[in-house]
Amino acid sequence: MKLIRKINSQFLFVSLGMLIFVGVSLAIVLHRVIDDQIEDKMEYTYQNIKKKLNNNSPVNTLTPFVEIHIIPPAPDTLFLSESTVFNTIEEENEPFKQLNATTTIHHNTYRIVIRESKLETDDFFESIISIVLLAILLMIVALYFTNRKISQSVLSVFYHNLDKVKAFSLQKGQALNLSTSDITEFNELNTVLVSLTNKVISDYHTLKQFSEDAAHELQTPLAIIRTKLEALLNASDIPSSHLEKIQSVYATTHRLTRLNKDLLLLSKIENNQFEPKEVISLVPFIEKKVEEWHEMIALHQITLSTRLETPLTVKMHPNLAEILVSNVLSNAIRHNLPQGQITISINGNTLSISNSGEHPIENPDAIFNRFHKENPSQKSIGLGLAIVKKISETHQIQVNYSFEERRHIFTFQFPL
Amino acid sequence: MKLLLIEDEPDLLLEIKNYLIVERFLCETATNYADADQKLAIYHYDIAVVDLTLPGGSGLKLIETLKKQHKNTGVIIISAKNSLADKLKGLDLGADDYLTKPFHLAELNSRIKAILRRRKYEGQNEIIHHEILISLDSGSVKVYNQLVTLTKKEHELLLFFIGNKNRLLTKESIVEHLWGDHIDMADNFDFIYTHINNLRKKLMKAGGNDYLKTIYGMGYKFTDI
Repeated sequence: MKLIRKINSQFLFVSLGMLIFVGVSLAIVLHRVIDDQIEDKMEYTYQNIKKKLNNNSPVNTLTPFVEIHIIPPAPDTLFLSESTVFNTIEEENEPFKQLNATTTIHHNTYRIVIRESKLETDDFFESIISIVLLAILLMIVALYFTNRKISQSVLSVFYHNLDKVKAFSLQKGQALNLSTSDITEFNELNTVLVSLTNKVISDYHTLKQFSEDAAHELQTPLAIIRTKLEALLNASDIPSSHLEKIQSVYATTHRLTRLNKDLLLLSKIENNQFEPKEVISLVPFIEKKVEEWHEMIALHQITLSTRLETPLTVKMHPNLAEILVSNVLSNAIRHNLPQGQITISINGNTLSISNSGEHPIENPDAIFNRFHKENPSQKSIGLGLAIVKKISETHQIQVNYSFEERRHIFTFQFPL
Repeated sequence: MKLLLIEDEPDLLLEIKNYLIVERFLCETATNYADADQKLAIYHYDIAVVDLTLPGGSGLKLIETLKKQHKNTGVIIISAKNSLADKLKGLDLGADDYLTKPFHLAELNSRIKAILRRRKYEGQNEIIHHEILISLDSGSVKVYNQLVTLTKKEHELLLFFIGNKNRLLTKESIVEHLWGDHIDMADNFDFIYTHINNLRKKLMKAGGNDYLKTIYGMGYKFTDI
């Protein structure tokens, strides 16, 4: 629910209650006042009649308003009651208030009935209810228009800023630039958001810088370890049982080196260090990699077919283009079936590289994650496709994996 | 051949030096900027191996000074920073090659030799190993004067082996030499075996000796017999 509707519905709810309360109180109070007045008026008429009877003046009666009958002697009484009288003109029963009195004047006992119509008080209530309802209606209409007005004027800055916050991206590294408004709360929110995002940006940079620095700092120790191990492997006086262990350490160091290089590459791509971008055609890169690995492809008895007739140009650093093609192709070779197939084709602005496979991979969503290995026993580093993903992200390339007709398919949709 | 190794890590410096001394290079060392600057100004070196981050200054500055003196010294940068900007700047300043740490010593050796070949052996551009003769101009390989047709990779492999004679070349260093840094095939060495086997067969078919020794589980050695 929108903030303004929430506030207004609360407001409406309270106002409705208040209006009803006011209406009811008004009705009760006015009812009392009118009743009192009617009673006073009937009392006054009764006193007048009594005075006239005392003076033996003639008394006018008017049914049903004033009726005077002479009755057998009875004690004096005076009480009020309600009654209905049939209105012959409008042909309906109408409510009346009536004063019943029995009084004895000059040895005659009179029964005097004075009636006053209550009809006008009922009309009165109806009017009050109508007015209250009208007020409610007016209020709803007024609220509707005020909402629109507030949304447009007061909240427009808020929505505008909200869009900016939504568009905020750490990768771009641009600080938030929010518009100020005359609403204190919004300005406070802006201040908090700006300082929060600035902190996040700075932390992110520090972290990125740290991972790059850490990877760099590891290079020299790795170089020392590796050269020492190579020297040991070349030494003639090492027993073979030790050589095996040295070889194992050497292989592990090699893995560590590759891992470090891949991590460094990832952070370099993230830090946009592959500049400048050039408009290049992908086809030569694909052809070069296919040529480089044709022995490897032949070794696995893989049939490779290419459909690269249409040129596909892309704006990126040549090194990254090479890495992208290289990683996807090596992936297709390694995860292929014996005597499988690889197809590389370009269609419009889409490059697709597919290879034979027995089953769809279990976790297609995780395939581009860092260190994800579909098969944990594999010796690969698990960063190849993460690098592919990162390159794609930084170049607005839509990358997609699917499994169709016993083939793993990677498609890359390049921006036009 | 006289080399100056400029590297601030003594451990690394020592191993590089040990490796290159065997190749009959005359190696001098410098571990800081001032020392290197002084040596480069006084003596003449055929090759300088320059680390970029040095105590007291940048290796790039050394290269700049060196190139201003118009000395015909080949320069290889070795850096822990795999930075494209540094690489481009270094090559712009006149460096011949750029190697990122950690590298294989065999790789460094083979790159140094490639630079020397480019600089010195103009005219007599040949590498001879007993009956094997590699012409660097035409790229042809002859065994007992009989032409042997090698693929590009086999050719590179042969050069790498001959440049690092009598050394154990690990599978890892061979893969990186042939396919570069970013190849994610390190776990699969079968295909080097295929290459090496093909190379061996071709050389032996032409009557050559079998110089290639397999060091089980580790790699290969190109022996002098």
